[in-house]
Amino acid sequence: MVAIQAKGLCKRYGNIVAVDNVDLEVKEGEIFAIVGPNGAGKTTLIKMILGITKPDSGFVELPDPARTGYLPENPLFYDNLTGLETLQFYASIRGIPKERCYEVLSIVGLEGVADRKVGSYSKGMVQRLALAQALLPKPLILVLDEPTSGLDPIAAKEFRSLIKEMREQGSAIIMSSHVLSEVEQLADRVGVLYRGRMVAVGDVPTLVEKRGLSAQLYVRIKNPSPKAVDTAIEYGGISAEIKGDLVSVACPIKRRFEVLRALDDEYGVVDFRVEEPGLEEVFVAYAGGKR
Amino acid sequence: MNKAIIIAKKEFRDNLRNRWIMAASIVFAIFALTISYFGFSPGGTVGFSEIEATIASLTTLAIYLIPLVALLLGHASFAGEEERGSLHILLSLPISRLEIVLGKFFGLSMVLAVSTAGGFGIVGIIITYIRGISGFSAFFSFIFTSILLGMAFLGMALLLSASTSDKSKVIAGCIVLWFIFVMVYDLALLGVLIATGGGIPTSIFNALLFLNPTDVYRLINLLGMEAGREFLGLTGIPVTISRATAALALIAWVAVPVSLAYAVFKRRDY
Repeated sequence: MVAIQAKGLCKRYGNIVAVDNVDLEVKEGEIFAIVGPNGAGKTTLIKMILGITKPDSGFVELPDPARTGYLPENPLFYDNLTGLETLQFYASIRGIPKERCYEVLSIVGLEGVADRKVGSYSKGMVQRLALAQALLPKPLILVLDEPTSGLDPIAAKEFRSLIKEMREQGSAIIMSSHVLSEVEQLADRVGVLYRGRMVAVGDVPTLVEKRGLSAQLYVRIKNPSPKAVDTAIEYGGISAEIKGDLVSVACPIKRRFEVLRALDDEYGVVDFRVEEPGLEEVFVAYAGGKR
Repeated sequence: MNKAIIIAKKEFRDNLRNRWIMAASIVFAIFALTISYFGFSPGGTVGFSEIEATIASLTTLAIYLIPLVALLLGHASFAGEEERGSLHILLSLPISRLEIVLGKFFGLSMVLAVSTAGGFGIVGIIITYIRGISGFSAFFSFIFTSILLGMAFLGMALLLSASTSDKSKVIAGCIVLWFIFVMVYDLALLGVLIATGGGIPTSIFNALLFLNPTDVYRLINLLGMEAGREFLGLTGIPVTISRATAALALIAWVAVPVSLAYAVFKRRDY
């Protein structure tokens, strides 16, 4: 079931088009990641979804805006309030019982420092507090802007587990991140935003296929021969070269097995390695080098 | 409006904790005590004088100090929170922008009120103790109008803070406002009076006084007070404004900037 629906979102700042006619659908229990170069319009799009920024045209439909959690990029809170008081402040505005504050503090592992002033928190602790406030309403929609920025690797891993848990519980999650490996691990679908336009939407394998991105094969053969290059090309390779007993072949993902089998039949494969194109290659293909 | 109260409480607690209230109270108290005690030393007397004379001296002090404190207190309300990212969280919550503005305004007004009443109140208590209860209502009125003056400048600070994301521009704007209203305006007015040989019609002159909240505040506290007229700074000029009219004008100075702050904040994209 669709949880977030946005149609025809546009936003201009003077002559600059920040977001240009973007449509978006995120289902319940889905993690949708927005990727794009700096200035592509990711944060503006997120703020329009949240109602912080008003679109020039288009609309956003959320099931229950009161049950939307938002984690902004590099948030800071009120230094003189404790972690618990900070959450109680947000809980009061949302009309959420105070007991929920203890629950979310425990979820993010801050229960031991709940009575310390936020001004004494480390960056990672502040980030976890920000996540805690986003979790307060038991969100149906969770919007995360660069969520693991400032977290150490262990905390980032815990954070990813938590996000997956939220997905299992049926939350629709929109995130933007520059950490493509993280997006690849978490996201069910990805939208590539470039100069305000959503230039590609889909899961990573589909986007790879759509863009015709090639896999890279490294095959060590028993009987090296320059003819191995011709064989690789004949069975689907786009380009190939041989150095010693190592044949390097770029080929469409769908043809990689045929190329490998042909090389094995004719020259005998000793070892091989496949580098499949991922989100980084998708990102570069759609938005790389032309910011 | 419950949510505005939540915001107001947060603002008050935050400023109580960062010792803003204590610092402002101490500053008010030190200046007030000094001026009250030594204010008439050029005449050869020291000590706490009659309450009327004390109010006249404190009014002049408050005109410099209270706008400065109010502008300092309010300048980061929106621009500062935007810079920190906490404003975006606030705006994503189920709370209206009107509630945010009102909450911030009244929360910070409470900070001002407690500081002003605390700082100047000490002087009031001492004078009441030494000189008796007479004139206490005038002193109460002085404290109340001082708070209103602070709220007027607080509203202006909120208006500036809502107008730009750049906190340094807000600070610059606050300095300009303080300089204009506290330092330049009356000098310019006197300059015009001198240049025209006092030929400005009274109605226009009165209207010009209304355009500066510090003048309105001065009028409320010094009009009708014999000791006060010489502190008006405009001695000999036929001011025909009643205290009630001046009080209404000061209330307008509180209401208009904060209403404009809301209008700007409501329209802005963050």
